[in-house]
Amino acid sequence: MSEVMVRLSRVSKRYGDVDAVCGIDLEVRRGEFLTLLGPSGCGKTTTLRLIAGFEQPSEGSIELGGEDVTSKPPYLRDVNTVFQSYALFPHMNVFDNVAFGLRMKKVPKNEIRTRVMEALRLIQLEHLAERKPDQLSGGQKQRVAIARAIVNNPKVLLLDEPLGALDLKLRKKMQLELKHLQQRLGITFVYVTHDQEEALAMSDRIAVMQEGKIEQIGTPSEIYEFPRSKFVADFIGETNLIEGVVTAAEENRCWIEADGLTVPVPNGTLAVGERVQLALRPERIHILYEPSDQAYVQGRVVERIYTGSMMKTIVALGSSLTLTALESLDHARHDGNLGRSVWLTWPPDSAVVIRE
Amino acid sequence: MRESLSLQYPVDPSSGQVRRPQWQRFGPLWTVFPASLWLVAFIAVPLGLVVVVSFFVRGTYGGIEYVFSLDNYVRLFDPLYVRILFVSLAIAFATTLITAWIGYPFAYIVARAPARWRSVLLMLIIVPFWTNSLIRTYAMIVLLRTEGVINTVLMNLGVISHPLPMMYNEFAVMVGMVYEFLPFMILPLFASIEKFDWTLLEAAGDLGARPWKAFLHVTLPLTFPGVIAGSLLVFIPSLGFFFIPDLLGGSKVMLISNLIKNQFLSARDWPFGAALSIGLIVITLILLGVYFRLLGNKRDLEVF
Ligand SMILES: Nc1ncnc2c1ncn2[C@@H]1O[C@H](COP(=O)(O)OP(=O)(O)O)[C@@H](O)[C@H]1O
Ligand SMILES: [Mg+2]
Repeated sequence: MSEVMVRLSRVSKRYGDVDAVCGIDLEVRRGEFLTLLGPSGCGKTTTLRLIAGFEQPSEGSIELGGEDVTSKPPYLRDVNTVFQSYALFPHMNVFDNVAFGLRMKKVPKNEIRTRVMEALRLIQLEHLAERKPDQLSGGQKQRVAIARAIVNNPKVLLLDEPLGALDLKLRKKMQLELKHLQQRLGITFVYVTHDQEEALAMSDRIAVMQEGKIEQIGTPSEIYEFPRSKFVADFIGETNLIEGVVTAAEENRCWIEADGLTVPVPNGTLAVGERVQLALRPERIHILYEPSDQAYVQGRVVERIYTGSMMKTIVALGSSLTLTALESLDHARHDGNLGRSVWLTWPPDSAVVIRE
Repeated sequence: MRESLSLQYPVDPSSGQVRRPQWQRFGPLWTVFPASLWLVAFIAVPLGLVVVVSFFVRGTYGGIEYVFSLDNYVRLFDPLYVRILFVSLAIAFATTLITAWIGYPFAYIVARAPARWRSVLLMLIIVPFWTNSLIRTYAMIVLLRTEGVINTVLMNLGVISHPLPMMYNEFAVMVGMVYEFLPFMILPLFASIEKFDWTLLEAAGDLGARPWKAFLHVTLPLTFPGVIAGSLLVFIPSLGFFFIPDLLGGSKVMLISNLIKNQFLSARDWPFGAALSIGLIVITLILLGVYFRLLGNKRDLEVF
């Protein structure tokens, strides 16, 4: 289970004077679903193309299943790619598209037939084997692209925003399907997306990328609950970021002052005078409508936004600080008129300290 | 479509048809009038004349005697003329093949070149058109003849001791034809290779296809419309081109195009020349028909 299928060691890629990828170290384990997540232009596609072999790294080395493939062309690498544009061959029907990889490997004809039909059954498109790509819907093309890749039993499957072109509903459905497929076949996935929700829902581990570097790598809950940098906290989900100074420190907690407010934090590693960021998830904040000794801060409601499933409340504290709280509609009080005083509290360990 | 029209124009209750203003019924037709006039005057009428003349006989002094006869068409099957036709077809075919062979890699390189190089390379293809092709053919003679540039240079370098016979043979005609028609092959090829989605080539490589296989199974089939368009643009005119075989082939090489030209100019046998022309048109049409039967479906013609 812990066998490393992909290993990037200090891999860099420069285009002229643009550093698309700078010094990435990454290990993907057998059977793992690893997602590269980051904003557009952060180097996700480039990283994937380096693994596939479409690009040569400027520095560093790439291993697949323990074998150094750094200088091998794509056709000698045991990986397959699902392209964002699908890249189905328009002059071939679905069957021939899926059979292409096997034919190139000179697999016997009978075996090709069985394996292709099996792959098509897996994606529930056996009945469309004779169709040409331009007679398929977006979702169907997407599945054919996946079948064309997995029929080859690759060591690793690379997927570049494979659901990017689908509408929201189909996308959610395909997310589940893909995840199930991956679990069933046990293929290692390296998945690229800029959609943090998608990444959180599907991945075993997420590597958050920014400007060609991996900012943080970990399980979805690690990434979400314990962001290690301001960028990660900000990029994944919505978060309240408070900049402050440590004013008092005890053995296992300290107080951080920001804009006239003092907030206790269960962290004993900080020194008095240190400047830090405090990250606080909106859904961890509870709004109290009466004064309470549990409340950390007092504020004033400045905005209430109804989002369908949740109520978003923006509370102004002091002169320039605002906190956003997200409550389920059961808990939200509808009489929380603008301007009224509220008190905020949260579980002590949900305030995450980020040291820059 | 129909519904939106019926919202704009009253519907004739008896026929159920949309009633349109008088000017609209024939309106679009008038715009093609100049073009039709042109086609009738310069294509239909001359072609009709050629057909008519081909059924008359040659007068004693080179005029036309208005007597109906099929002799001209019978003469077409004379082995002498059949052989000329055969050689002409072979040369046109070879020209097409060679221009495709040279033109494809060239068009491919141009299409894959960085954008700022692409226009320069395309210019290089088009520049020769700025000079009259007759003049360019004379320039070819300067290069190829016995005491021409190529022979002189090679002799002075000591590569050869006798001049190479490069003029007044089929070789010279082929060189001239390929030179003349190469741009007609490259431009449609470029147009279709440029439209090719290079991700497909990556996808092929990703699926284990070596570069040559990827080309054969993906790039070539998807750029084949360009090959077809280029082949038509080269094959048909090269069959009727006469001054290249005239100038470069001399008296030794007689092609169907020279034969026809000679009937009209030197032999003064207009009726036979007309019959030869009709024969050439018919053969071209037959070949085109076969060609489209074999290769062309509607998709492949998108280049035009
Ligand atoms: N072929 C290329 N030539 C020049 N710059 C490139 C090329 N491909 C990518 N880049 C640059 O590298 C950076 C990373 O790109 P990419 O890996 O496509 O990002 P992402 O997939 O995360 O959106 C971008 O700044 C992009 O402009
Ligand atoms: Mg990308």
